[in-house]
Amino acid sequence: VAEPAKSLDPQTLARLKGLALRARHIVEGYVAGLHKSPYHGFSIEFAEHREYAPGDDLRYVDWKVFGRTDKIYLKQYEDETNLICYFVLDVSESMQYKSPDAALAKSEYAQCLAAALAWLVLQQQDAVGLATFDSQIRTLLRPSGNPSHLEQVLHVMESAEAGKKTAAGPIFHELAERLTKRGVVVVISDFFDDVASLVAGLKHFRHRRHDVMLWHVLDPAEIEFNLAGPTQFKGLEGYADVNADPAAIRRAYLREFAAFQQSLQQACRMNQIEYVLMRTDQPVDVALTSFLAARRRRAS
Amino acid sequence: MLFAFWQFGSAWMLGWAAAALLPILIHLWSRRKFREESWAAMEFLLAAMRKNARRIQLEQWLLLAVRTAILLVLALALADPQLSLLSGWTGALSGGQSHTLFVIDGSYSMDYRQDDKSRFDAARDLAKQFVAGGQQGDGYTLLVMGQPPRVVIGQPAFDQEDVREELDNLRMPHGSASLLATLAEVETILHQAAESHPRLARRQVVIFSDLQARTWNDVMTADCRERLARLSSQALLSLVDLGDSAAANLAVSRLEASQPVVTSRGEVTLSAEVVSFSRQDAPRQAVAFVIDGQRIADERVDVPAGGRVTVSANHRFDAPGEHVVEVYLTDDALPLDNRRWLSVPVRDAVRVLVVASRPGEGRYLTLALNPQQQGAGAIEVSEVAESALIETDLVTFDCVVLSNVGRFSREEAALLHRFVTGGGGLIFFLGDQVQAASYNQLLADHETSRILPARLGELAGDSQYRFNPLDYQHPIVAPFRGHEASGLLTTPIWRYIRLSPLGEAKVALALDSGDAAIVEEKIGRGRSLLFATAASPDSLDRRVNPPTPWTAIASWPSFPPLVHEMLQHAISGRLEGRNTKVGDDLTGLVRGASPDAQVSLTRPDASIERLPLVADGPDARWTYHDTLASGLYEADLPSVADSAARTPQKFAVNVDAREGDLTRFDHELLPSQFNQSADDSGQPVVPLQDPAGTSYFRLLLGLLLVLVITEPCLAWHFGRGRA
Repeated sequence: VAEPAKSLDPQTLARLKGLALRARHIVEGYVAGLHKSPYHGFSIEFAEHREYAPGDDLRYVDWKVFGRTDKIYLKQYEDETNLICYFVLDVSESMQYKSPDAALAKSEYAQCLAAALAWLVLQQQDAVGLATFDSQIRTLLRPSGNPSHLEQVLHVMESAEAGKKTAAGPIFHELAERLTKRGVVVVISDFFDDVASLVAGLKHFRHRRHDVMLWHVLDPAEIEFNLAGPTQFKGLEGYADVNADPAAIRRAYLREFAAFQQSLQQACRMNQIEYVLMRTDQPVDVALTSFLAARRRRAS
Repeated sequence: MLFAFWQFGSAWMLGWAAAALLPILIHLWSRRKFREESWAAMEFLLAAMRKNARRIQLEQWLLLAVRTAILLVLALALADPQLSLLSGWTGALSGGQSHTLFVIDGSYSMDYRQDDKSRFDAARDLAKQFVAGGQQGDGYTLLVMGQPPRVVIGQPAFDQEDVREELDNLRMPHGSASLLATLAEVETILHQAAESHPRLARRQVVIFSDLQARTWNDVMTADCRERLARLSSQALLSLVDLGDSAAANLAVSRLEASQPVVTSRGEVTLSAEVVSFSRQDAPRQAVAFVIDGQRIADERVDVPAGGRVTVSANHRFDAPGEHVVEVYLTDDALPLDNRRWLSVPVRDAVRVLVVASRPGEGRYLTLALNPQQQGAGAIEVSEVAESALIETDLVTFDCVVLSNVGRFSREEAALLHRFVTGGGGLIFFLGDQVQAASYNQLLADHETSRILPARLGELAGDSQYRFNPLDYQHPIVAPFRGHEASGLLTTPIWRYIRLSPLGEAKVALALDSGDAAIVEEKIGRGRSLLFATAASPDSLDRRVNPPTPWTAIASWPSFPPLVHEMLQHAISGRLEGRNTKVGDDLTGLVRGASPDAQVSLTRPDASIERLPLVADGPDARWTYHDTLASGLYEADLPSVADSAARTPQKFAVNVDAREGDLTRFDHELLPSQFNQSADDSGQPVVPLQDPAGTSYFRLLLGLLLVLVITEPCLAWHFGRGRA
């Protein structure tokens, strides 16, 4: 088992070939760092209360309610053992970007995250689904709890080809219609799209009572824009090439970018969507921890 | 109004200004040299560019300008730019060149030295720097402020090398200066230059002076102010003050012998006067007497602040001939007046010619002048009759005494005129033979040929008269003060001719009737004395019976000393021709010279000038005008047959020690026409026209520093700092 901290570092991951190996590396490294089971309370999904009846398991007594009402209620859980986790993965051309100093492209980083989490979920006997998209839905794997499903998930992610343009809004609407069973929807993308459109799509997930998490994967160069010297920016996703001096427009760019991030974060807050910024130069455990922490908060 | 133009100390350094193209080239090159980068967040990039395009461009231009300016200013600083200011928008707009008239104070106070450099040298150097900073086509004239002013370059010179050469060759005169005469000359030069070179639209006069009060007090006169007002309408007047308010000076102001004609038969007293132009006492100042190169006396004197001290030394010249006495002090900051010379042509005796109207008329005079009647006396007296005067060679005599001469011919009058103006002494004693009309007509009435100090009036004599010494003020009677036993006051006078003094004549001795008894006046270099009565008892008033003698003075004890004093006074001009002030002519008579003969004059700097001879009656005269340097001049007459005349004659030319008073003129009183600023430190001030130009090297370096600091600040501010 690799050393926990280093094994989760993008530079380390970049040296590993194959998504399966990377995912295993992450999971083992992450688990070793936790020192206790990451699964505890993982799959519990609260639904409603019911009054206590003799013979019920006292572990499920809601003591908070008892404290307030002096009545004994038990917490009722829905699908207690069958959590469905949908990964919605952006495979558009913009996700292929990798700055010179970065170890992994955004897409690679996103795949690592998704694969590692899928591994964990499947080990928990829960189900994992996957959808990849660019300007349209490229692949849609139905959720399955079969451990062999992981191999398929990884294969789909690895074999995904970059599409031209992200059009997340309509795709999210379509996916919301097609993912009928309630679950956790983890959207992994750079979200370089119209914020209003994609937020409308995410709302659709919420309307379908999915828990939604946004993993906003960004390259450090996109966040800091610290490129040196006159640069010809070759536009991805169909944008024309542009010549500019990054130093001259850095402040203006950062202003635009911050406004974009703020509007996205604000929309997430308003719609109870978990937003996590993923820098491709950060260790991946940040993403995993944030996911698990979010689940715990929801469970408590 | 001012007009500025740049000059450069190292113009070739401006070539580095081409380096200012580098930022531009780099900018252009970098625009072509792009690093390629695939980019996903294009939407934000495009938005940033769209909203900030103008600002970015402005920032780029500003940074480019600053970077270019850094290299330009660096090149400019290396080129050592100097900004000169000139007046006259008209000239500037018309593009005309300037005419600069340099006026350099030539009074000898300009020889005051600091660090071995005189003020005159400083003025010359400043003028040369000014010329070096001039433009092609500028004209320069040069005037030395003297007494009289000396025009060195009268018409504008356009070749800077010529002007510099003239400045290099300029020698400081050792005289004084006349501001008024100089301003008149300035006006003339400006006028002539304006007529001959109208294209020289800008005119300026730059005066270099130490602002010595003796020279500049004239600026307060109405005449001077009027002239300045006129000049200021024609040209810009600038004054460069080279003076020093703390300057002090000691000078030898006088050196003289006790006798006007020094002989080898007696001792002579040499007196030197040391004057202080300082506010502090000068104790134990060394004063040295040197005769013909041999030091004969050393004295130590305490010279009080602003005071005078006389130092004397006795000496007996062993042999007749040309001798030079020199007195000097220890050198101070103004060495020119620490030294003084006295030319002493030593004779074996003073030669006096007594011209008498009749035999025996002059015997009392002869006896009074040379009581020994032998050749051993210091005075040799020759007596001739009235008729022999015209045939007598007066050049060999120091004094001619005319006793009761009846009348004069024109030739005799001319002869006596030449004699007295050449430095000889004339003494007229009157008597019963004198025809007053002849005296007045030939010797008194014509100003150009006048040799009498007074006109002769009618015979007076109704009673007995006594002399009135007039408080013994005059040098002739001053020795009688306290010597009443000498009989001067008891000398009986019964007849005399009333005298009416002429010109600047002075009454040395009067009669108790109020009329003058002795009248004297300086005529040319000589001196003429007129005695109102006779020198012989032979003069009688025959209008009365028995005839009454004019006077008994000839037998009175006061007669010999009075005649001696009169002689000494009459011949006091004998040394004057040999001892002159700077600027005065040197002249001499030569007998028997061939028409093409020349006099070789050796100047103090050992240079030799050949001087032509000009006929002067039966003799020939040479004259030298250019005595601008103090020191010894030696005239040699090698081509003259007369062996006696071959002895080189020595002339001492001394400074006027009053010029050594370095008291400065209060510059607050300077008229407003002068663009002069006060500077208590005594440093030269060139308020409007800096000949050397104002160097902007340091200013540019400061600007360069600011730009070098500004560039990274701007770059940081515009976002480059965080790039």
